Amino acid sequence: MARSSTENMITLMSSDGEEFMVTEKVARECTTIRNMLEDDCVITNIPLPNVTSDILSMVIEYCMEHVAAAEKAAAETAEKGSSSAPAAAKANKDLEEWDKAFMNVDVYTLCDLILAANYLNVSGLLDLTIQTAANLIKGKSPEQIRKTFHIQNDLSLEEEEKIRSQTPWAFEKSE
Amino acid sequence: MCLSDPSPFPFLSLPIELQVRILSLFPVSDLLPLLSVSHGIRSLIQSPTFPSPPPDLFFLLLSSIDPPFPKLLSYHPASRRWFSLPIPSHSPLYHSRPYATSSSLAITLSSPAGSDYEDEDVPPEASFVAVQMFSSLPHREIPPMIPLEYCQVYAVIPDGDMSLSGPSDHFRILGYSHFNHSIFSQVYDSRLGRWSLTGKIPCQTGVCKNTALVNGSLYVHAFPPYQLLKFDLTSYTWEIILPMPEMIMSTRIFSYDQNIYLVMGFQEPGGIITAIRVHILDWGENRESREWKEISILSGTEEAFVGFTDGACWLYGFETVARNGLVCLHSPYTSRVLLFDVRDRSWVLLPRCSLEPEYTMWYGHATEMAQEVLRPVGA
Repeated sequence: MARSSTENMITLMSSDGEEFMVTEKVARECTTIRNMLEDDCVITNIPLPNVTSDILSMVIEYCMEHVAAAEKAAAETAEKGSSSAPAAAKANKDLEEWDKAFMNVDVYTLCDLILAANYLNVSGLLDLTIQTAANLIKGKSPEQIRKTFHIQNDLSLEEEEKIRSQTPWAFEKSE
Repeated sequence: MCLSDPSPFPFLSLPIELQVRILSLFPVSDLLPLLSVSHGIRSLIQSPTFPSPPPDLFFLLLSSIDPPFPKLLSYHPASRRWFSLPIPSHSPLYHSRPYATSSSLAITLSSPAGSDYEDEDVPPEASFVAVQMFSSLPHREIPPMIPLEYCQVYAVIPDGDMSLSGPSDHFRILGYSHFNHSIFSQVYDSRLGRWSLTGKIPCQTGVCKNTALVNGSLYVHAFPPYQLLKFDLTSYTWEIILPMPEMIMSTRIFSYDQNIYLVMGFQEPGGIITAIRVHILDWGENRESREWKEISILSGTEEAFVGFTDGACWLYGFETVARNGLVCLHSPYTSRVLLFDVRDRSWVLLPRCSLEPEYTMWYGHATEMAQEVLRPVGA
């Protein structure tokens, strides 16, 4: 994507000391950073002590892709005078596919991305990662969920049986 | 790929608010099994601050012929499965069919004595109860209607279904009587705890086939003559909207996305149905030139119709229930169920259900499993 010469650049510094230079527009995708910029408009170097370089680079990649998609849609609307519904639908679908491929990560990276998206307040990325985590449980039995989430079963057999007996049909659903 | 990663996801290392956010994406029927994962997960889900889960629609289609009603044969569109949903023996619904249901509230008789079927008039002096379906919450007593002739209950309207601001467990019930060639309506408001007479409209005979809630008004499919009436739930006034199309059978109105739809059997001479049609109410410009416009037709030659009629390609009638843009149609002659989705206008013949083969009586309600179902018994 061509960058305007007048565009402000911001340096984001990860917890392990790596620096990432991004446009202000990309940085503003993170509401936490946007608020910092609005509080102090001359700030150009932002330390992010809660995000490692691996995860920060992924957050930046996500923000850049979504900013580029929004700019492309705005440019097409400006060129044609109005947005074309089929073109917009295709662009949305392409972005959804990109998001899906972006979520092709291991569970530890997913967990770190959730924490980073929450800390940096990137609402789209938080929704995407939360939904991906939820998909890990969908349709699984309680025992499978314990394995998937590494949760110890601290219920007695009697307690478990009592819960099952109240809505047996719901347990059939997950088996 | 993440979804097939064998490593455990470190769920418990996330802050509580993020754990809740993940769990809040699940409908009630997915949350119920999670209650038995661990004490921690159970406390999160049963916490009073746990957000309201997304709608979880069940079509309650068939029951035993006579009371009691220990189970309902139900279809769950989200999982495309049939379930036999148990009704606790202490629930009033164990003994009586509901007169009206909303998203999760049912209105039925407080005493099993008397009528057990919604098409019958309300017995004089009968009192009602409002029941949160499938939850262990205590039911709420409702006094008898104002005694007029031939009382019936049209609908129950929770504040939540009216999109009123703020959380509320209040509701209204619309009832009516028919005499002197008019419909006389009365409304029970749970805030006031009493019934009030609310207006009348001339009508030859006041049979209500069913109702649909749109934009703060209750639309009533009345007959004969077949016509659509509107009851404004703010001003409590009646209006005749338009007549129903001719040569139709097994009709039912329903609402979706603030529109009124009509599903019906198209009747050939001889009284048989050879096609099922769905219409939308088009209000026209300035809401003056209102008319029904067809949006979908399932003709007798189509595979879903042939399956619905077990190859006969015609039928005498069917029963219908609709909610959230989905319509379930049941043929009492073949016990087959069709599902129509108003969003993509698709017709799907559901697989036969092998559960509870003796359940052949049409129940015809839909419910959205509400958060209350998650509450511990006795809470």
